[in-house]
Amino acid sequence: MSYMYGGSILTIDLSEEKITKEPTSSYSRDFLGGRGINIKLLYDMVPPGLDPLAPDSPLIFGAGPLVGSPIPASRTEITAKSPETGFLGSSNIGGFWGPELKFAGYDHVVITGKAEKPVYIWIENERVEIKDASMIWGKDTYETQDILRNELDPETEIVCIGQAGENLVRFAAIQHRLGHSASRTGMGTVMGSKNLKAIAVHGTKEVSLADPDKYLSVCEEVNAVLQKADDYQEIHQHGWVRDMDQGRFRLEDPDWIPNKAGDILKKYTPKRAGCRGCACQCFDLYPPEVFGGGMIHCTMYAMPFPVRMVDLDIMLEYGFLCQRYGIDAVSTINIIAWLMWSYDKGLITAKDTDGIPMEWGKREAIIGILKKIVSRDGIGNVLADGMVPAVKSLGRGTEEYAWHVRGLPLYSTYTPNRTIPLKGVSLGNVLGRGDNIRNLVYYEYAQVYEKIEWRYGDDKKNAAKKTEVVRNRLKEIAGTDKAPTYEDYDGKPEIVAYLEDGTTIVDMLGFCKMQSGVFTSTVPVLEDHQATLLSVGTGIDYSDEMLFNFARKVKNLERAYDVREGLTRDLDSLPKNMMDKPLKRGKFKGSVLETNKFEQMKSKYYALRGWDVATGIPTHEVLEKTGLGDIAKDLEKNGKLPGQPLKRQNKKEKNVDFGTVNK
Amino acid sequence: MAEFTLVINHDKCTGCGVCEMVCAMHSGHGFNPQKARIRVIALEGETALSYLPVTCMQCEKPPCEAICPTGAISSDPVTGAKVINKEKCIGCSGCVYACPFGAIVLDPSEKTPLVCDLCGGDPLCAQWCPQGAIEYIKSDSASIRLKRERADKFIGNIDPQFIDAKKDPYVRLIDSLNK
Repeated sequence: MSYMYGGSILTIDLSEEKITKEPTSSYSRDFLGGRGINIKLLYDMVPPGLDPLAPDSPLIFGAGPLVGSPIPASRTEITAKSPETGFLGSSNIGGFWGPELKFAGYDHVVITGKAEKPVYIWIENERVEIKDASMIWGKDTYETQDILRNELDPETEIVCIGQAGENLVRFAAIQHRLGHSASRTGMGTVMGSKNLKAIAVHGTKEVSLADPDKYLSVCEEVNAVLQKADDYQEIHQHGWVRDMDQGRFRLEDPDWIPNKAGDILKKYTPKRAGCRGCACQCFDLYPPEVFGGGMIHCTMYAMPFPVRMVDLDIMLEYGFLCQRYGIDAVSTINIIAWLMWSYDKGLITAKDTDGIPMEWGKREAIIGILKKIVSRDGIGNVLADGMVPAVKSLGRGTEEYAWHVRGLPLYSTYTPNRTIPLKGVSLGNVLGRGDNIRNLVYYEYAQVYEKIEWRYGDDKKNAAKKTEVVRNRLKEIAGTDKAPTYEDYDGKPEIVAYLEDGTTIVDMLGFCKMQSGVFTSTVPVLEDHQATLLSVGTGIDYSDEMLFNFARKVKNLERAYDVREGLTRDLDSLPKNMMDKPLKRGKFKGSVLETNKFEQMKSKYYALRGWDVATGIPTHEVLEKTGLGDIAKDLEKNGKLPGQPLKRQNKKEKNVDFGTVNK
Repeated sequence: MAEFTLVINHDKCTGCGVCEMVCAMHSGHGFNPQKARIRVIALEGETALSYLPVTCMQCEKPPCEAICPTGAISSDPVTGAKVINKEKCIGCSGCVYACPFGAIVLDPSEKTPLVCDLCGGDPLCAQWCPQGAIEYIKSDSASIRLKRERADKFIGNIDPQFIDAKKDPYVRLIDSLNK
């Protein structure tokens, strides 16, 4: 009956050493896949105001129904209360672990409690063991996986934390293999707080399909469409680094952004690498001679910008160190950049940073502070608590240069030069709480293709063609005659809401967000195939409409969760220094993000979602309509729901269609 | 010697496992690498970073055929692929141990050997491999093909990405598509 699912939700209580299993089907009729069931579990398990590092705080892994297919679908969603922000924390990891979990017969793993001493979990099909981890505690993530693979089974897939997670650095990451990393919002910290070093999985069971032959042919179609996308071949052959180098995402400031990533590829000739089942293989795999080796996805193009690093070798080193320590490279580099700004403006001196002068682009400053944060040594102990506490403790006007949304540092390339001119991105950034892949507003980037200096082959004509395709799509979504350009405020709430739902579907199914939009924005790969894939695989009829309804339900539940934790309308805002100030340099010089227009955009978005415009809280009506009546009651109980519940006469007609899933 | 040969170039393999998935699925299964007749062995870690797809090498003097006590294994006259007669097979695993490449496994549910059947002459793994690491090519050109690849590598002429953009094959492809 449960085609496409591993079958069980595995709950492991580390305090009591108790292991329980329940069928996924008891959840899968109301919620869909990784991100869907994860948030339901989290909402039910976390009482409001719980300390994210308390033993009761659960850490939830979830692999969606498509995970395991020979298409780019191998993503596992990891959810917990974030120790970095205090709101919903979630991160997404690719690689081989999710599929392996499903081969072992599980869709979700829920970790609760706290082990007395360091342990790791060994899952081999039905057998689940909690084992002593004293021999790997203190080791970095590469060593840990090597040791465990030798000890358990060479085919084991492992997620683990490094020293950062052990030391409870508030933005620690969960690592897998040599470069797959679930790093945002401090999921590794939650794992560390449970004294859990690693989860090793080996599965030999089958994830059955309703119609394998037809499913395979749909997969073939998906791959064929994917390979036709404009930028697929570039990424497939040369990876992100070179593509970023030529400027797709690098419009910030041509004065000092190094265009050297291509040279790095030439110097070290990395191999291609990536996730299970994916044809694209967008990672670069470096041999051990290069700073110890490892895989790099975006460190080299995204990280040099905030710290004005010109030498990309150092960024390579920084990237590998972050992987080994298991720390969020984005939050770390933002904290370093904040220190560098403060130092540059004379607000702090080398004395404040243990004698390390925070000069722009200096290796000692970047690597030195990284190591201090990981080991919580000196100033590192303050910085390791996250950006907001660190800013608070340092004070002295340095908050002016701290770029974060609700305590989560912005993704490195989303600093003012990117966020201010692209109005949709600025709105998406706020709603995705600063996390770049939470809701990708990729149509905005595609619009600025014309501004890019293509270095390797592509030409302006091609870029203009792409922009044209994207503009037509935008017209459709926004429902206007004239496609909104990236500087327009009109139409943006519609576009953001649409892409948010699309991204949520991608996360629920376990598909890759890069390939569902970022570099395939001219061909909607998944949009055309998601319902077919799911229907053929599960044998249940899913329609696009149903998937979008599931996505909206998840979106409302996530919002309700954050509201219960204290989210209000004014927390949905960008750092003050980004508002109402014209950009001084770069390709978008003179661009301004106006507060009142931004607020209007926000109101429009809330109204579209059916949320209360004054507070940003989902109304009773919309919760009821999306099948979250119990959540509405819970919010009411907590005194968070504005207004009275509406009188419902045609309740049945109003309810949206979730189909007859598993009923 | 059969007309076509399966050639594996491990240098190109990135370990994505697409071949495993499609191999398992084409024989009517869901996602299950255990049912695949090709497996990718990953050597990833501190010291080694490489992947090797392992499957039947279509031996001319197959040890599996020789060791089979009931004569259940024979070679397909056209493709040369090993064919298992499930009626004759007693599930003794002799072939599993005899194969010098470890390319044969016992089907975990049916207890009969799983071995590459070359999909009847059009192997899916070769069709699907995104890196072109698995190819199904004419036997007589296979050996010179390998020589050429090695030679290209030796001369340092293999990587087109750093050649002048105007000569980049990918650029030429894009240009021809746009015409």
